Amino acid sequence: MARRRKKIVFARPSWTKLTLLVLGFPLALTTGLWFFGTHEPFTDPNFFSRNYPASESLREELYYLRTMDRLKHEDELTIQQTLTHTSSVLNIPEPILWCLFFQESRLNHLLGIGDERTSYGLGQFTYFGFYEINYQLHQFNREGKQHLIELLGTDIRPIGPTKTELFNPSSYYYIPTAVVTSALFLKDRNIQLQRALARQNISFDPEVLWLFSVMAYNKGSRAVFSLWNQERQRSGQKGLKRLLQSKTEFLRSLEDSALFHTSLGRIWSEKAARGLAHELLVHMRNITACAVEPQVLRSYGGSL
Amino acid sequence: MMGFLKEMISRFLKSLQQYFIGLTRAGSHQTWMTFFVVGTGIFLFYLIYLATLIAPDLELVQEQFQKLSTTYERGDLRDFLRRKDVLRNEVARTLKVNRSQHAQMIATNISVYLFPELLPDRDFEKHEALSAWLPLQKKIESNPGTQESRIAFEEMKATFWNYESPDRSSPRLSETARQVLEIYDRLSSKKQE
Repeated sequence: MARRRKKIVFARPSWTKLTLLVLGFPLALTTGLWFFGTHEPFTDPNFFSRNYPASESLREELYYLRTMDRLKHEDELTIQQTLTHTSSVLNIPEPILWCLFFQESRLNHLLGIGDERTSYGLGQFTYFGFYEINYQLHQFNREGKQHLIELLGTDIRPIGPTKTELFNPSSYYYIPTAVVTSALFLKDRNIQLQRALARQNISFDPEVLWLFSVMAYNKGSRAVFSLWNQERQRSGQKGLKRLLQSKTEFLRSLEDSALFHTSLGRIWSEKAARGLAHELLVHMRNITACAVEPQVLRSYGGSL
Repeated sequence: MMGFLKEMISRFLKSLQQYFIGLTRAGSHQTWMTFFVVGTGIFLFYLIYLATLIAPDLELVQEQFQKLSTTYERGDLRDFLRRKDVLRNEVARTLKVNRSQHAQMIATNISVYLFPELLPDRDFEKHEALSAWLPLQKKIESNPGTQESRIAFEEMKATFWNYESPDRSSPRLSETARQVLEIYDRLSSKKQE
């Protein structure tokens, strides 16, 4: 009995299926490469260090402040407790807030109380900083007032650098008030930058944006906008997106003094821009060293 | 082929000759007049076009900007708005034509604080200015010297300082921001006459 050989029959592909296959494959490949090539995971729990200050030298400095009694235990405890609560309510990364205060005042909530300084206390607040919190908070953050009440029990505004009543909740020298007020100001900067990017449909890495917000807190939002304008002029829209979406690109930019110098030179005179760019770079490198996980900095491989 | 071309050219020249002979005849002065008026018009239009290509003197722009702060001293709002409009045109022309980086920087800085609508859409400062201080400036201009305009000025001042001030130990503003504040300080504190 002769065995019948099975005949393999291929289904005849239709033109539509063939076209979809030919066009779809490269399209899917390009989209995949673009997405994974330009986007990093949007939340990276390991980027900011849980054990702040992350840098060894800053830990030594903190230890020195404690042993010399320049940072009193009870004050540090109050700062820490308020800071933890505030960062969770305002959704600010805790290391960012702590490192900002450490950088601004070395956690000295009474800094500048005895002299004629124009900035005060823990977050080195200015007269116009108070103005924003007292009268313009709603312009940035609709929930600002609600957050203030949630964190301090009542709306204690107007807030000011009242020297005579250090435990008055309306005084910026009162620790919880200083922490909450400065955190609200930082949150405002973050919202301001987010809005500017949303207007131009530019996505961003949230951790990178928090670092830009710290920059805006220290040197004004204009400095950040100018830097973004400059980066776009220099490297195009793609270059700007890389800076905002990639942590590595952001860390690399902190070694690019020309970028900072040129962008501040769009606002200030040559001499002033040079000085301010240097200050800002030092400030941002210190914040990064304090808040970012050392392993991340080591894997980045730069000189930070 | 060559013969055909020669014939075409000679026909064209002949018709041209006849046309000009016609112009020399009596009563043809109207045609000449039309030629003259149209020619002059085209020439003037060309001159105007050329003028738009020449960037305004940068020093003149800066001088006009500085003078704007003293313009309102007599309380003449119309004069102030007219001069501001002149400055706007000069700044717009500088942004469009002047290729010097320095000139662009000065014109951009003036635009940020006075004429943000002149900035390109992709400029991050444009929308900030349009939403944060342009409405306050309009409020002051629409009702100078009133309590309302003074409140708007105070708000604008705080906004400028928080937007720009880079140094807490020695607070400062850029020259442009400082001058714009000076302009609106005058405008918000003196009533229109």
